[in-house]
Amino acid sequence: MATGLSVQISEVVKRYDSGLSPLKGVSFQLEAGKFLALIGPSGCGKSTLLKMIAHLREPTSGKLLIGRGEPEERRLAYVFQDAQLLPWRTVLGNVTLPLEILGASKVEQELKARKALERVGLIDFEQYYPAHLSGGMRMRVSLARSLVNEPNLLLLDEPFAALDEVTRLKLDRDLRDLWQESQMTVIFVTHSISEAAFLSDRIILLSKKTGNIQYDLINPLPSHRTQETRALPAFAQLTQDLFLKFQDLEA
Amino acid sequence: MNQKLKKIGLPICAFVAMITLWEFAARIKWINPFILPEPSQILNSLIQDKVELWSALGVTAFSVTISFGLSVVLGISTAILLFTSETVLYAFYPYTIFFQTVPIIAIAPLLVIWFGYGIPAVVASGFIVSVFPVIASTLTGLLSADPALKDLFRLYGATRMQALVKLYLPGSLPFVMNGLRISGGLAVIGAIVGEFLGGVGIGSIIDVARAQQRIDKVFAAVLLASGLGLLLIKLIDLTSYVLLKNWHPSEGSEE
Ligand SMILES: Nc1ncnc2c1ncn2[C@@H]1O[C@H](COP(=O)(O)OP(=O)(O)OP(=O)(O)O)[C@@H](O)[C@H]1O
Ligand SMILES: [Mg+2]
Repeated sequence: MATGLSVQISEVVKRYDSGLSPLKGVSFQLEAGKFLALIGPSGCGKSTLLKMIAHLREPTSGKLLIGRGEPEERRLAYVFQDAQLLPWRTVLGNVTLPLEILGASKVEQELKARKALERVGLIDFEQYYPAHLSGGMRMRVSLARSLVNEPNLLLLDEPFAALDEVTRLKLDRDLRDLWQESQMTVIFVTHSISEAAFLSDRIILLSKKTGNIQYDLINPLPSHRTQETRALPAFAQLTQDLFLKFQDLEA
Repeated sequence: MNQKLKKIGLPICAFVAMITLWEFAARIKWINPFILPEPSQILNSLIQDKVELWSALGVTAFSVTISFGLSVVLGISTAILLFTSETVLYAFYPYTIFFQTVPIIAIAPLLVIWFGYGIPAVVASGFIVSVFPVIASTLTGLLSADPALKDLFRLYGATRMQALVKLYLPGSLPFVMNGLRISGGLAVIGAIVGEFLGGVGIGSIIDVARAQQRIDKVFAAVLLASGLGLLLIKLIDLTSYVLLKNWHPSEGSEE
């Protein structure tokens, strides 16, 4: 399995034509293979930053260096808030899509897609259409699609925000396990403090007011996470700490 | 089941009741048969003139099929062309809107001059009125692709061709089918208008029968023409159902 990509962001500014400038000189470095959670109030520019890291949007100024900056080494995947599946394709057809675009052989496409579906527990549903799946299942398909090209940088933008809590806790655990099995770098945008605390190695809190990083901390929790992790005093302390920082921002 | 019975049974009952009332009203001379012939007379014409009517219907069906077929193929290709080149889109799209408003009845005589009497003028007339809804709806469909999905294709480095085939075209299908539904009805109307002047098919029978004051025959011909339109639209509905049933809410995947 390929090693993850590092991410270096220096003095990144994004200004929209409307004059709105959500990001005003953000800088940070993320080592390869880390799991970063990006949190902050609504409208602070989390999605904007994530899209710039994916090269889907250009920064107004500043630099983003992904890995060594060579396009060939880049194998990105992006998970959106709603599953964003192609409704005219079956589950299997949705998961093979990235490989199809990359020009893999039919055999390889299906082999890898089935492996990805197995990892998210949906192997029995490969012939279903998205319209016939629950929201949680659709999100799993989306996750399988993002894993199928064995990304070295996985970007997720509030992927589980619309799901019920039990499903979300389950998917959080699955994602953490998937990451630990691989060596990919993950950047996970969320509104949820406890989700950020549970998943990450590192948490960055963005401020809407300053358009910059407000708080950047290493997650002190043990790296093996289970449901019991959420009951640890350290977990309670971390979420409380984050909550207070978050509150400072809103004030 | 009961609901289905109601949906089919009630319209049939209403139909029988209305026809009976109409027949009755005509028989006791409440209605002037020169204005509105009684149903039995229309039926009579359908039987008596059946060879003439059905062969004319065949000619009309042929023209409609050709003009509708041309509209589908050329309409969708034109929309793709407009979509792939912004220059072409800006240069020509306003005109496609403009042409849509041209009254076919006014230019039908010109078509006869250009294409001569007969089927070519009829096909041209059917095509002209039915192609624009296909262009407009296909283009709308192509332009309304989800921005997040567009990002997804960019992320994986999809070529323009890959994005067109795997994202834009399938995504536009519900729009296209809606356009075809409108276009199918218009193709029949356009062809009949063409036939008024082109001298063939059901349109010509309507024209001649009217001149001979055979109102019953006019009605019989109109009935067949409507049947043709209905058949075409049902075929389009069926195609739409088959293509979209698995994924689009308009075809009941929400059950
Ligand atoms: N295409 C755009 N044009 C103009 N302004 C935009 C555009 N996209 C985002 N913005 C603005 O930039 C700001 C940051 O948007 P962004 O979507 O990055 O926020 P966010 O942190 O992801 O918020 P949320 O948590 O609600 O998703 C918002 O105020 C938004 O209105
Ligand atoms: Mg966002």
